[in-house]
Amino acid sequence: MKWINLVDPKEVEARFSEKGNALTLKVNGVTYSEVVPRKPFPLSRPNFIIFTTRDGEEICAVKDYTKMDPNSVKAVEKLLNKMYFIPKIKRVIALNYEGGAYVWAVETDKGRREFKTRGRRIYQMDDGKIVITDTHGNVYLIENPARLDRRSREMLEEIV
Amino acid sequence: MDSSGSLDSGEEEPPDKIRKIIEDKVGEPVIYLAESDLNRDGFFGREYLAVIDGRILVLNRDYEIIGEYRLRDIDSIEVRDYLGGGEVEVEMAGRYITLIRFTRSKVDEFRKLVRVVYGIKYGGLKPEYLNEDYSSNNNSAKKTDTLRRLLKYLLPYKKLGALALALSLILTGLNLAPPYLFKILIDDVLTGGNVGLLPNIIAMLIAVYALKTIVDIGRSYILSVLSQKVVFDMRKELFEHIQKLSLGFYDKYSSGRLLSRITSDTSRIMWFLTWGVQSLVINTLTVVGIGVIIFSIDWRLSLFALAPVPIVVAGIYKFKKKSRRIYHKAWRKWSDVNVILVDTIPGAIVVKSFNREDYEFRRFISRLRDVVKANINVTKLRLEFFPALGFIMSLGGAVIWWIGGMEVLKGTLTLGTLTAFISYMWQFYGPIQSLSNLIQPLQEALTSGERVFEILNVKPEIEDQPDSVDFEFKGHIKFENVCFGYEKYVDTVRDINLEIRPGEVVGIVGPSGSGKTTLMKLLLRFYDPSSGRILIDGVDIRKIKLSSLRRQIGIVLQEPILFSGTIAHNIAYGKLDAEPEEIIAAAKAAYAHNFIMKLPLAYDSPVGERGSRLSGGERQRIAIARALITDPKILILDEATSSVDTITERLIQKALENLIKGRTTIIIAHRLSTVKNADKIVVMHNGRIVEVGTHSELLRRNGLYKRLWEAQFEETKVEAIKVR
Repeated sequence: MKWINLVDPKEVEARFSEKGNALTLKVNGVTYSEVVPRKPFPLSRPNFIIFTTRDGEEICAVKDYTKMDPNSVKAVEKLLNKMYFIPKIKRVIALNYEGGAYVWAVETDKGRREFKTRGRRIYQMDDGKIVITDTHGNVYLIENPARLDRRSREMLEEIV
Repeated sequence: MDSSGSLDSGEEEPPDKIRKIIEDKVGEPVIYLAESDLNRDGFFGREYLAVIDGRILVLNRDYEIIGEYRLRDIDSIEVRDYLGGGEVEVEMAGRYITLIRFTRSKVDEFRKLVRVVYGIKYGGLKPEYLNEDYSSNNNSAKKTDTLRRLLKYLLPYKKLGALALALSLILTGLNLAPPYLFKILIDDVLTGGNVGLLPNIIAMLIAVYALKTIVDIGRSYILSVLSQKVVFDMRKELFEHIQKLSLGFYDKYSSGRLLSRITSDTSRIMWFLTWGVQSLVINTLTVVGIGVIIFSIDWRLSLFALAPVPIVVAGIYKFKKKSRRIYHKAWRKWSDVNVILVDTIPGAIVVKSFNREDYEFRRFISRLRDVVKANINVTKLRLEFFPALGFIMSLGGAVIWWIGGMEVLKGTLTLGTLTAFISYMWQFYGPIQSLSNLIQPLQEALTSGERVFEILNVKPEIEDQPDSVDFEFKGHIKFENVCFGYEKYVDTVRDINLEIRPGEVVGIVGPSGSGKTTLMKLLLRFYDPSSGRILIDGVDIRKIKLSSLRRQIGIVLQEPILFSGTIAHNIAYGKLDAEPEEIIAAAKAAYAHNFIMKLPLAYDSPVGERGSRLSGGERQRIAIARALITDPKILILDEATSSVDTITERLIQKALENLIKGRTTIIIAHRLSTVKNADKIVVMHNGRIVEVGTHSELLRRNGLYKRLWEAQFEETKVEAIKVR
C-alpha cells in the first residue's frame, strides 16, 4: 500500500526514550528516536497505532500494537495511557437534569467522577459502545452498556 | 363588459369531436391539435393550433381559420414563457409572429406541439409524442379502494384485531349494566324493602366496575401493540420502496413531503386503523344498545328524551366547522410569532448593526397581541357553545323528570326505572359526541392513505433487466445521439455525441444550466436518455447491472453530503468492510488525514448531522476519500472545488491529482483553470456540445471557450485587486 507504511508488529521494537516522554523505535533494522504513538481510531480500533516523529512525520503503522514484544507494549502503553485518557464507566451512580445540562456521577475504572454534558454529546457507535463527551471536552466510554447493572442501564436509557 | 369572448358560453366539446370538425373543414388529417384558453386579445377564450401535413393552422372558437403558415417558411418555432401565460412564436422571413396565446395551464400542450413541429420539419418525429397521454395521473385511487387497501394491513394480525374487538364488545356491555343495577337497587331494595339483596347488588356493581377496568387495560394494550405493528409494517414498506425509486422521483417530491409521508401520514393511518375503527364500533353499538333499552322501557318517554339529540348533533357539527377555522387561526398567529424569533435570535448581529431592536420589538409585540386576540376568540367560541349545549341537554333531563315524575306519582312507572332511564339518557350523549369527533380523523386517514399509496404505486423507472451484466470496466465511455429532458418534451441535453478513452481526463465546461451535470446523471443511470444510448466498454449501460455500474463510477459532488456517524464511517460508506489502513490511505490521498488526526477522536469523531461539525473544505475532502476507497474505474468530479476558499481549493486540487491517476476522469468545472490541463475539453451550451478540443486548440478557435476564458481571466484580475 502506497499511502501507509503498515508493518508487522513483530518487526517493531519500542523502548522508552532516554530523554523521556517519547519512544525509541527500531523498524526493520532502522532506529528512530523521539517517536510518539498515535491512535487514528481511539474508540473503534484502539489497538491501531501510527508512529510519528514529534513533528508529526509518519514512520509506520501497526494494526495491533499488543502483538509487539511485551517490553515494547509496556513502553508504548506508558505513553498511550497518558495521551488517551478515556475512563471507562463501570456504574452510573446518579444522572440528573439541572439547568439545561445533565449532571453525571459515575464510577469509572479510574475512580469516581462527576461531570456535566450539554446537548447531544452522547454518541453510540455501531458496535454499541457509548461515547460521552463532557462540557470540558473529556471523553468517557461505556464499553458494553448491556453489561452495566440494572439501575445504571435504566438511568442511561433515559438519555441514549 | 367587453364582448370579445371573455365569457366562455360555449359547451366544452370533446377533443375528438373538435379534431373531426377541423379535419372535415380542411379535408386533411390533423397530426396534432392543441387548444388554448386565451384569445389573441388576451381574454379568456378558446383558439386552436392544428398541425397538418406541411402547415400549421390557427383557428378561432368557431373553427374558422384565422392564420395559416407553411412549415417550410418557418425558420424557428418556440414557446415563450411569461408570468401567468405564454405564447407560441414563429420566426418567418426575419419577423416574429405570435401564433397563439395561452395561460400556464396549457404550456405543456404547446411545448409538445412545438416538438411535433420540429419532428416533422427535421425528421425523427417520435410516435409516442402523439399517442402518449402524459397528463393522466393514474396514481390516485378511489376512497373505497384506499379503505380496502388500508384494512389489508390489519390482515396479518387478524387474531389480535379480533381479540381487541371482542374486548370492545364486552366493554360496551359492561357500560350498559350499571343503570340496570341502579333500577333493581332502587325498586327492589330501597323502596321494595328487600334488604337482603343490597350486598349482592353492591358486590355486582363493584364486580362490573372492576371487570370494566381490567378489560379496558387489556384492550388498550392490545390496540397499542397492534397499531405499532401496523405502522412498523407500513413504514418499512414505504422506506424500502422509495430506496428503489429513481432520482426522478426524488426530484418530483421534495424531501420534506416524503419525510412527512413516512412519519406523520403513517401515524394518522395507524391511529385510524386501530383506535378509530374500534371507537367507531363501540360507539355505534352503545348508541344502538341504549336506544333499544330505553325504547323498550318507555317509548313515549324516549321520544322526549331523544328530542334534543338532533339539536346537539347539529350543534356539534356547526361547532366543528367553525372551530377548525378559529383554532387554525390561533395556530397560524402563533407560528407568525415563531417566525420572528427564528429570524431575529440567530440574526441578532444584523438586527443590532442596523439599529433595528425597536422595530423588531414592535413587530414582535403586535404579533403577540394577535395571538392573544386569537386565543380569546377560541375561548369565546367554546363558551358560546358548550354551556349552551349542556343547558339544552339538562333541559331535556328536566322534562324527563317532569313527565317521568308524574308517571311515577301515578304509579305507572317505578322510581328505579326512571332513574335507570335518566342515567342511560346521559350515557347516550358521550358516544354521539365521540362519533362526530371521528369524522375528521377518518377523512384525514383516508387522505393520508391516498398519499401513501400514491407513492407505493410509483413504479421504479430504472431497474435491472433480466439479462443485465456485471463486468470489470476498462473505462471507455461513449455517448451516442443522447437526448434527455427532466420535463417531457423539453430536452435539457440534446444530440450528445462524445467518446472518452480509458484513462483520459476530460473537462466539461459551459455556462450554468448548459447540461453538464445532467450528462453525468445519465452516465450514472439516475435517469435514462429519452433517445440515443450510452456505452461503457461497448455495452449499453441499460444492460449493465446498476450495482456494477455505480460501484465502478465514483462521484464527488459540489455539495458533499455526509451522513451522521463518525468520519471513518463516512469514508467507508462505499465499502463498509474497509480495513482501517484503507480508510487512512484514502484520507491521505484526499489530503484529509492531517486535519482528521488533529481532532481529539481522530477518525472516530462524529461529524454531526449532515457533517455540520466540519467546514466545507473538510467535508469535501472526506467526500473525495469516500469516492477513492472503492477504487472506481471512472471518476466524476462535479464542480468539486467551486464552494471552497482558494487555499482549500489548492489542497483539494492536490487531492484530485492523486485521485485521477489511472482512471477515466470527467471533471465538470466552473473555474476553467481546473480543467486547463485535461486531455480534452468539452464545451457545452444550451444542452448541446459546441466545441471539443485541448485548451490551446480551443483558445485558437475563438469560440465560446475563448470568451469564457477571457471573462474568467478578467474576474480573477478583479478578485486579485480586491484581495490586495
